[in-house]
Amino acid sequence: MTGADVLLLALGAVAVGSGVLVVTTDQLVRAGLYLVVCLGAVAGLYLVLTAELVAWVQVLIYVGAVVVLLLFAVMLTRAPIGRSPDLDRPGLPAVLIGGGAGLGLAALFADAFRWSAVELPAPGNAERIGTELFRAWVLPFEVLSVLLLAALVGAIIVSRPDIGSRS
Amino acid sequence: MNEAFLVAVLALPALGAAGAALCPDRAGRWCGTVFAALAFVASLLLGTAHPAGWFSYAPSGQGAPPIVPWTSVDVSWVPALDLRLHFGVDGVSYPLVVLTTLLTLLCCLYTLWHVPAGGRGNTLVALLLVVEIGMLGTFLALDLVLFFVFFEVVLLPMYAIIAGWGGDQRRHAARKFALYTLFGSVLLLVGVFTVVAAAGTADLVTLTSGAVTLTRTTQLAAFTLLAIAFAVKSPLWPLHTWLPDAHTQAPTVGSVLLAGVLLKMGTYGLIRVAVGVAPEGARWASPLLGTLAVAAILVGCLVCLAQTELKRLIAYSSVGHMGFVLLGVATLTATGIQAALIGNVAHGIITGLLFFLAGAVKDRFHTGDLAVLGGLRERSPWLSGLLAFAAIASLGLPGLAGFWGEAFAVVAAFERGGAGWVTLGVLAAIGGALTAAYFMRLLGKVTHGAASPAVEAPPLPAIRISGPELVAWSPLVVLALLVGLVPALVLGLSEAPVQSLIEAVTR
Amino acid sequence: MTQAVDHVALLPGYLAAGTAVLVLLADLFVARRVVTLAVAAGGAVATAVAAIVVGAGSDRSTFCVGDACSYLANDRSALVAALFGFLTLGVLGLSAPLLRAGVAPAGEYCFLLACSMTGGVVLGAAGDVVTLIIALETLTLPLYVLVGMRRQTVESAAAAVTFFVVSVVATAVSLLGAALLYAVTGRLHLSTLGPALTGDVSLAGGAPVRALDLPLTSVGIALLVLGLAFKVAAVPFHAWAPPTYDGAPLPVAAYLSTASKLGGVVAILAVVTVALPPAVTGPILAALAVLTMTVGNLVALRQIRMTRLLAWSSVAQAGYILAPLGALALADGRTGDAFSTAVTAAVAYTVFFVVLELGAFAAVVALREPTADGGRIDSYRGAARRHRWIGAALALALIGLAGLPPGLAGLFAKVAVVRSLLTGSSGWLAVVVALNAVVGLAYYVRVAALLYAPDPLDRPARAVPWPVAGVLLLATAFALAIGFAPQLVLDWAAG
Repeated sequence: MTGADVLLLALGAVAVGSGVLVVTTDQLVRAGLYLVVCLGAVAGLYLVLTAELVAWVQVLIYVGAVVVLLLFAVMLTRAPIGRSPDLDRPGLPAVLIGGGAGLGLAALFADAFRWSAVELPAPGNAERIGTELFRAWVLPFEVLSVLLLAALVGAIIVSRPDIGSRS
Repeated sequence: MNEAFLVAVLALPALGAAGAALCPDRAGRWCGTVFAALAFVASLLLGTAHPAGWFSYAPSGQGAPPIVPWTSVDVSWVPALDLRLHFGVDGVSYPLVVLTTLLTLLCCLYTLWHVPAGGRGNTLVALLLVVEIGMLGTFLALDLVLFFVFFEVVLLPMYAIIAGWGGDQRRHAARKFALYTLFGSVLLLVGVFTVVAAAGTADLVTLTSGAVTLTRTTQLAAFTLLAIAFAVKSPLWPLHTWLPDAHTQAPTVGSVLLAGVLLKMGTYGLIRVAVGVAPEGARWASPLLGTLAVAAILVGCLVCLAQTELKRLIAYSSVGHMGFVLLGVATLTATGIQAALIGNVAHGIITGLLFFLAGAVKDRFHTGDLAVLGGLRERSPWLSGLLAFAAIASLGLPGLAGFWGEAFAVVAAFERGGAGWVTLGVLAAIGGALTAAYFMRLLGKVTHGAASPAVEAPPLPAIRISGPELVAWSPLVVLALLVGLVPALVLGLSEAPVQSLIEAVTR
Repeated sequence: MTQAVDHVALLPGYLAAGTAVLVLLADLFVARRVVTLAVAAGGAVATAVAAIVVGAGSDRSTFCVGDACSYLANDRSALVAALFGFLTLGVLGLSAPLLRAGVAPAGEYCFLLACSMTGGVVLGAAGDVVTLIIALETLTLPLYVLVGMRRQTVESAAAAVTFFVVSVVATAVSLLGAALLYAVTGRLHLSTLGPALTGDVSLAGGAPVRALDLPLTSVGIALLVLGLAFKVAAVPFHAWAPPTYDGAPLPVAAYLSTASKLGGVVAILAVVTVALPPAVTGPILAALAVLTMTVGNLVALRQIRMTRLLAWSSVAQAGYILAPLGALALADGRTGDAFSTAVTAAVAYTVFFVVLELGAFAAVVALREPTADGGRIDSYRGAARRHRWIGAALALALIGLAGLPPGLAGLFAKVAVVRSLLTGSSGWLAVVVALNAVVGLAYYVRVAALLYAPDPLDRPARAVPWPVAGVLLLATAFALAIGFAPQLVLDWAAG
């Protein structure tokens, strides 16, 4: 067992554990903070797997933007900060589906890959990803720009009910 | 020239329907009637295409194909679906074509004079003409997929006629009619493409001539699907439950066309398509078909004996008569099929007349209830006389058209031989006697005896037979007599094709 | 070293994206609703025309890595792009009264529709899984916002959220499937994925093993197909469709049931025909088709609201579209001739369906207030007596969807499907399709008959705005034309 394997296991455990805490806790702000830990652990996993750019992007977008947005939303809507017992939902269907999917995928991968060793490739830094992207994947990249523009404009319309409407 | 008549027979009703729909009420009805008359004339002129002359008993050569069209038109339409515009007429379909154009013309004339409540007359005439296109297309189609398309054309206009101008429970009856008929049609679609996928062609002339052989499994599957489809249309017991409601609730002209022609699409399809294309399947299924046909005869008769409503009784009598026709087809002998063909035409003429008369009775006395009607002879002797004539023609009196179909279906069953068929023949003969019984009961209740209050009520001028009614009924009366005395009018044309068909089936 | 770009092949895509940007600029600088709509409509027409012109030439491909290309401009992609262009044009016409009433801001509304059209155009030509899924998402994301445009109502917001959540889950499922397939084969381009899946793979340097023997492969294929089945609203992933159609503004519901469904079908066809082995996808699609047809028709019988009825009927119609692909379940259905017939039948049915559905929705829009939803079916009683031609057009569309004359387009669509099933020896599936057609007639004819029933309330006729009437006229005329000349559609579908 190499050091990378140990790190993968440890970070994976942190990610799964904090993920479980996100959905089981009944305090909203704590859920947001557990999400930070979870996503940070996933970023750590990417780093161990030498996908540097993806790890930094994960931290920037998910931890930085998304979670901060979550916390701002909690603040501005004056959501309850303490315990909220009504946040609880029957967990059994979710456990069945989530656990089933997770265990199923694990079984599939174990069956397909068995006990094999994978050589880690060269580090996935910005230069390498850029070369790959602009050598083979330009079209989806450009179409994504249309998607993002649409999302931007759409978000503005959804959030500003006074645009364009006459009372 | 003959191709022109063929195209005209199909195109004229289409033009008439368009004209009738677009013009205002009275003008639309006149327009539709004129085009229906032109179509009738075109169908008569189409008879001149017969190669050997009208009354010839020209025997066919040995091994001639079952379908030798007198004239045909063949244009490609949708090659990707094996659909060609291939129309043609021969001895089997020609009498039905003339019957269709004649009955539609009479219905349009009737509508000129009297429009039932529920909508405008010109729309009714337009719908009648669209139904006519569907019926004519079915009889003239020589391509299986084209046959299916025209089979479907009939459904919605007939639904609209029943739902728009019908009786009290018209919506339910119309919906039942539409769903049952579509059930049959979709099975027809699957059956047609079972054959087309296996054979590679949809051309009826090729498929029936024996040039293409289908495996036994394909033939059995195809015949089952096609037979069920045509059994729904004919109708064959036990798939007949749509018929009484549809016939009873439809307006007079709707009932005339339904009973007169639409039912024939099923039996024609059985003879032409099911037996022609899948002969081995026909041989395999003929005992079952015969049994169901005789069951239809007996059930129809027994139910008729218990009926209390005039139109419903005539509707169930159709089930019985179609049972005779289907028995003739099931025997797969030349006599049987000939009996079926003339039984078809005779039933069309006579039941058309019966429904006209039933409609006349209901319009005058505002009821069709047998318990309420009585003594029609006292107040309206001509109407009661015509009703008696039609009823007697329907029960199969020799000398009138109905005799040939019934009698020779029984003869064909005996001709087929074997204990089962002889039993079926005997039961069918008993059914014929029961037919006489219920028609006599009908006449006894409606025409004889003292005049009931309902019959007494309307004043004499209101119940007199009017000119247009006479114009509408007299061709049917004359034809019932003529076909009864000179069956060669129908049988002479169809002898050669039927002979070839039986040779192909028993090969 | 970058990829070669064939700009001619990309012309429809450029025009579609350019329309989107141009619409925003027009709205910014000119700020007149009519001009914005005109620019959007002109762009949609230009996209369609460019697609037809490019498709008339030889097949082109661009953004290639070796032999595998991400953008394939062939006859089928031209057909899809042209359809998207014309559908967008139609929906823009139907939206004109909505925008005049001020329900939504004109510039942003047209921009979102144009973005959706761009996604559709690229989807038709997608050559690899990544482009496919991104294009599908570009097609759907603007619709999340557009569904919620009737802002003062709760149904609209609920519809938007339902649609958003379900769609995102669907995209995630299909992405997971694609990722699993990448894990097994290391390929993403559709043309290379096919041979890789039927061949041998050696995972992580182990012994070579048949890719199809690994359960991982089958699960990946299943997830990809099922994720795409969400978009088409196939049972059991259909539950979002009725509330979403009902809550959305009517023109957006029209776009959802035509263009969005077209996109889902195109995506499924792209993966099933090229990449995934038919022996695995065939049974999945057969099961989906049977379930979808049956459940869609049976539940539609009970509907009392017009848009929900149209939604459930479009669920059932998706079943008819998937049915020819269900023939792949049997070995006879996978032979070259039967396979190509099945794909042609599916594409042809989609074209017929899309035209008839647009006609039906256009008629419904013409009969309702601009800001209203579809309303109860009872409120259409006697509509054909008040508005002769609109009622006739709606009846024609409904009867066409049922598959009867005079809606010949629908009849030939069903004939094509049954024919392809019997050519592929799937007689049982043909009988299921046939029986479902009977069930379908029950509710289509009920609504069509209600249009002609006498109206006890004796409501007056309403004025119909000319763009809506124009779209209805064009859609109905086109439906009649392809009804009498279905060979055209079958030729286009065969590619």
